Amino acid sequence: MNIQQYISSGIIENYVLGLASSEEAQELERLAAEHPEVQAAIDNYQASLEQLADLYAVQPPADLKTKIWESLSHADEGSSRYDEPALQAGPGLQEQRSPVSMSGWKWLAAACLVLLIGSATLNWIYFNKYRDYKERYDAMAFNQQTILADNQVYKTRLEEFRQDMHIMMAPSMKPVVMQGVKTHPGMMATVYWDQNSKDVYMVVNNLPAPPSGKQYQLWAIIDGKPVSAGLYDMTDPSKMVQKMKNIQGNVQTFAITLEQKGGSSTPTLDQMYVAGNV
Amino acid sequence: MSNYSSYPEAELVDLLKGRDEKAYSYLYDHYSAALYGVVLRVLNSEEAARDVLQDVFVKIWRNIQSYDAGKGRLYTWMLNIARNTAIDVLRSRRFKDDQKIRELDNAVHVNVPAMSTTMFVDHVGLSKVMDQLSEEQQRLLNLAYFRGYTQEEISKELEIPLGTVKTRIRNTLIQLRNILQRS
Repeated sequence: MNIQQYISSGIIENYVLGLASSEEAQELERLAAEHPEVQAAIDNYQASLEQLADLYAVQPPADLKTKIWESLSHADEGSSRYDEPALQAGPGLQEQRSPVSMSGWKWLAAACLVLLIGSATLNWIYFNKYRDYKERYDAMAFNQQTILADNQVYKTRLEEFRQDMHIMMAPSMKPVVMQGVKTHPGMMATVYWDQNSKDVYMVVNNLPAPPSGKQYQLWAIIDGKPVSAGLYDMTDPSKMVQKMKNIQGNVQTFAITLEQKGGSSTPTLDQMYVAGNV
Repeated sequence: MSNYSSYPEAELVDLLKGRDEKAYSYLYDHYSAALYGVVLRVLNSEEAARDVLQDVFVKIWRNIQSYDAGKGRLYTWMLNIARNTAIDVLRSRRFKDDQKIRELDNAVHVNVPAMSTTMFVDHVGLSKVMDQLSEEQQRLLNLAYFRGYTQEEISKELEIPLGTVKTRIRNTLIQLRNILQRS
């Protein structure tokens, strides 16, 4: 190709005026890269058109700069209005963000974040309060259970006392006080003998706790012969009044001896603690 | 108007690509008048030109990364954006409708291509240059550069053969170049 002929063909003029077809433009750009004189011709005309533009220059309205400045600050967001396929910007465009203002969604995101933090804080506070109340509630519930159980115990005990009292206050009841013998002065126990039913009840007023393996046994002396009236259990302090064996016959004396656990068939006389005549 | 007074162009381009605010301010201060002039010349409406100039700067902002200094100077690149954006608006249907209403209202500027020469008659430098072009050359330049006519459209408009259009455009540009180099 004769370059001078190409230069004078009019294609460069068409190109700089924007009249060349895209094929023509591509060929020209290729040739311009290879032939400096073609590039020089293009530069030359472009410089002329730049000068012409200088001559046509008109100062835009004064307020326009501010308005444009504002639109530039939003230019990187959304709106495809300004995207030209041929001029599509590369990934580099996304790196720099407008320095001027935050867009709507950023405010929204910030607001959401604030709400989230607020909500999380309240959750934390309320959870702690809840945990505190839960602990207190559990403690109170436990206390109430204990009180109820104790109450049941007292109620039972009171009922027992009432029955004991009822037994001892009965008009048919004959009390027999047993005083400490010589070897055990100051000791005392009482037998309540129902004259109708012949049931025998016993209360310990003052006896030492028996040594391990030993137990107190009540005896009724009928016509000079001792008859066992049963064993007294000292291990349960709530059972003050204990029902002994039913004793028929003409009893002169009630007495208590310390015997092997389980009781004896005859009393160990030197281990007698208390005795009392009917 | 000295466009390259304080920034070497390569440095300016780098700053623009880096979204440097001062560089954009500088760009606006030094080029907005020329770009606005071209847009105004194409659209002949200040209201439309304002909007288009805004679009032009947004396009520069958004597309600066794809600007290739090897293919031409920044000023030419921006002029082409301004010119193409304005011509797109000129060709858009809505603008044509607006323009028709305007013409009915004024009933003055019937010959649209011709009016542009009268519009900037107070611009001494421009008229001095234009005076040295023939009327046909002025119309050719106007149709091709400021109105985005194709060669076929120019051929029809000026009633000259297509082959002749090419030759006369070339002659017009050569003469324009010579005039500008002398002045």
